[in-house]
Amino acid sequence: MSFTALSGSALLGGLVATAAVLYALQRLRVRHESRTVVTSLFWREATEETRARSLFERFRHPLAYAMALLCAGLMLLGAGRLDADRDEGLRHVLLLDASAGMARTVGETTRFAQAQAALAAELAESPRDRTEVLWCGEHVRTLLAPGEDRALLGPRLAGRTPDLAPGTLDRALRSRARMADGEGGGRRFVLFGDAPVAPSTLAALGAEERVERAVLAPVIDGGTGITSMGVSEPASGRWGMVDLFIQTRGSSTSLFDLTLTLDGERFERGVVIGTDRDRRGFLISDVPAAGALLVARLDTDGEAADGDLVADDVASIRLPSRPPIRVAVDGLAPAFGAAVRAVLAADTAVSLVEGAGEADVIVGGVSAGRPSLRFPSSTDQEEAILIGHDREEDSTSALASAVGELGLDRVDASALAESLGRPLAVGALPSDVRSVAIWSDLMDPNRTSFLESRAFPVLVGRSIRWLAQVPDLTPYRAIGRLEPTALDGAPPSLAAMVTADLDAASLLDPATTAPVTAGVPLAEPSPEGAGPWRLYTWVLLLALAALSAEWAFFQRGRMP
Amino acid sequence: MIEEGRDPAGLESGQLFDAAFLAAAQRLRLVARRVAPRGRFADQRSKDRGAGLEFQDYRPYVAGDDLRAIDWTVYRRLGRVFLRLFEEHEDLPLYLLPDVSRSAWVESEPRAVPGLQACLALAAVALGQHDSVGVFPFADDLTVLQRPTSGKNRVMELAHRLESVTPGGETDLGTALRRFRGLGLREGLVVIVSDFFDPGGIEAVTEALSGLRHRLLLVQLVRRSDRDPSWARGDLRLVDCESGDAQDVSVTPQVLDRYRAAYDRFAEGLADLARRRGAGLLALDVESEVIPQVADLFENGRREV
Repeated sequence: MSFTALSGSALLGGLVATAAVLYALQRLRVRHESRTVVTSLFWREATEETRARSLFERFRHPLAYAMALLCAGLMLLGAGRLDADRDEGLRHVLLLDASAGMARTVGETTRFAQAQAALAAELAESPRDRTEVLWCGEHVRTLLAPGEDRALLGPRLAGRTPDLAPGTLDRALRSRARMADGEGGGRRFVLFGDAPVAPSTLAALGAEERVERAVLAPVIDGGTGITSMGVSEPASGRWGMVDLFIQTRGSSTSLFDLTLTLDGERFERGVVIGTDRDRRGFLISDVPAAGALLVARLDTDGEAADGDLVADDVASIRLPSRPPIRVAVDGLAPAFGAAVRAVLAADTAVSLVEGAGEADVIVGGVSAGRPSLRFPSSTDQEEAILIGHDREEDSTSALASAVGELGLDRVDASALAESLGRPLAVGALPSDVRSVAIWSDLMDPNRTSFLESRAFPVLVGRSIRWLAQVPDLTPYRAIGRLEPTALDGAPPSLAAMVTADLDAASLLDPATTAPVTAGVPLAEPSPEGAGPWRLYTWVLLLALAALSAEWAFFQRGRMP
Repeated sequence: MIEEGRDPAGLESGQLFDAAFLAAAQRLRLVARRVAPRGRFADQRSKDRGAGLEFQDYRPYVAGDDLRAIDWTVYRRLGRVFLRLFEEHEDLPLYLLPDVSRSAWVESEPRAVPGLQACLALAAVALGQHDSVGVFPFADDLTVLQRPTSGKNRVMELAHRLESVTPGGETDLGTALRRFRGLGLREGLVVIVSDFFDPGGIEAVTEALSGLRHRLLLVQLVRRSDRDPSWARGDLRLVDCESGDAQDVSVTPQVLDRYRAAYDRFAEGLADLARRRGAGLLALDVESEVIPQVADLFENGRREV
């Protein structure tokens, strides 16, 4: 038994106070109704006999007092909503999903309004001192602490709309599950919304904890929306271009067109690269990487369909800026100078300039404080390839990463060592500016065949890019936050790194666009099961019966 | 039912006796005449000796006696002059004492009205049989509204006088009857029309009547709510309309039972008093027609008045 509207101590205090007030009222001087009679002779005789036999002269009507106390006590019990506990001692944590997906329209209302209504209904049935309500929007906040009056929830939710953020139900659930629970009695988490909960989260719950999802009206259509958007290195290899990937989701994808604008101008290119049930991927190749804002919009033939979410129909991304790398070539030995120039000339990322002042990278000559690719003699440098890395880097790790970044793993070092008749070594030193120094002996066509190998242009091209410190690409953007993780079902080519300097993206996670609520059992209906005929209803009826009996007694003159 | 804050006022013209009532009173006279085979209503043998028809005694002649009453036969036989004395028949005076104390007026339907109507009905019967009728309203004192007078045609005059009665104060039957005795009226029939709610209770009524040397008829003005106050409920402050004394009462069934017991003791005491005095007692229900109740007094022959 518990009170869903009053705490037990409040009810007990109320009963005591009521008894005291009624007792005081009984002791108060009675306000008599004045009536004039033809004679008070017989009344005087009657009352004189009464006084002589009165047991409680001052506390005049003990039975009437007991009746009044019974009525008041029953009404107080009813007001306290005395109810049978569904689970004795169980604490209830109600999580209101306020993620972007809850803004979905459902008929005349929204998913969020449905969840609020379900929350209010559940809250009315839960014991006040063992129930808390959490707001799970962009951040998780406490809406109603245990013991607070449920009437506070309305004002605290007034005017609130779902945050344009992915669901945080899972995060809130994990956070609460980790919190120390020293009170015992178990916990019951009730989710009001569609945000997914990971199976691992459910598995991490304790034995006395259970999760239920409130039953909301089903969404007819999962809606359409842009669920993923990202850029990658172009498959064509052209510098200054990126490949753009867009993934949409929804069962009615055929009903809309995907419109792209680049800095406000219509941009029409791209192919559908995959369709999987309600999922469709678009690849737009060789989009100029000039820092323009690309906006993707789903045109759904007018108004949003039932169950659709407007927020995920538009997504934008600021494309990276990839200008050519300006390279100045100076002082190359005639034996390999032509070959280096030819490689640089063939590289679309390189723009050869005259004069070191305008160059981003110096090849051959004096570095003059700029990143440089040099070719010293083996007599001047002990290592065959020496890398000057940033000072904040560790030389060992810089050397390890450079093997891949510079394409050193493609160099047939053993053949070159045999040709030169001496071992080759690779070293790294911290430096103020980056540099790559390669023995000129390796470049001598009379001694090695390095210039003719496929590793040569790779080494030069990647060295130029490494020296120019071209920023990485972030392949994926969702809800204004970086998500440097692999895309769900995205093509492998999108795993490349792209710049992160983005803004105005409004992409949502796939679970928001097409919620997957499976995995969490639905909340069971109240075991009381009798609708309004709860225990407190019977208490109120009993109070009504007591009041009626008191009135009948009064009418018959059996009560003062 | 008593209207709170009601200030008792006198009677308006026509309120007491309308044409219908006077017609009914006339019928009552006829009824009384018809049902009095043993003599006229007010006939009685007078203790006075005079010029009646029935011989009663002799007495010696004294100067001034009527010479026609001398029994000359006795004079011839005894040589002394004696007068023949005859029993003198005379009327029985009717003294009406209506209670006009405050208690008779405070109710929304004042019980003084049926009381005065009863007085007029009895007066009509008496006047119709050549008896003299006097009216002496009383409350805390007695006043003379009409000295004893006779004559059939006095009914209307008496009715007008009764309509001029004004409410009095507290009931004090003892003082009123002392004043009545002080009037020195010859013996007659005293009719006290009252609720008999003397503050002193039935004991005060008994004591007041003890010194009265007249034949007596008590007309008790009763109302059903006197014994069964159904209006009484809850916590009441009952204010006596005459004394102003307040009595706080929490009305319960037990209190009501004790109230009825007290009232019954009072009514029984009054009946016992009437029995001991050889007086008549008529409980006049003020909520019913007056004439039939008064007529019932004669038709059944219960009382010889």
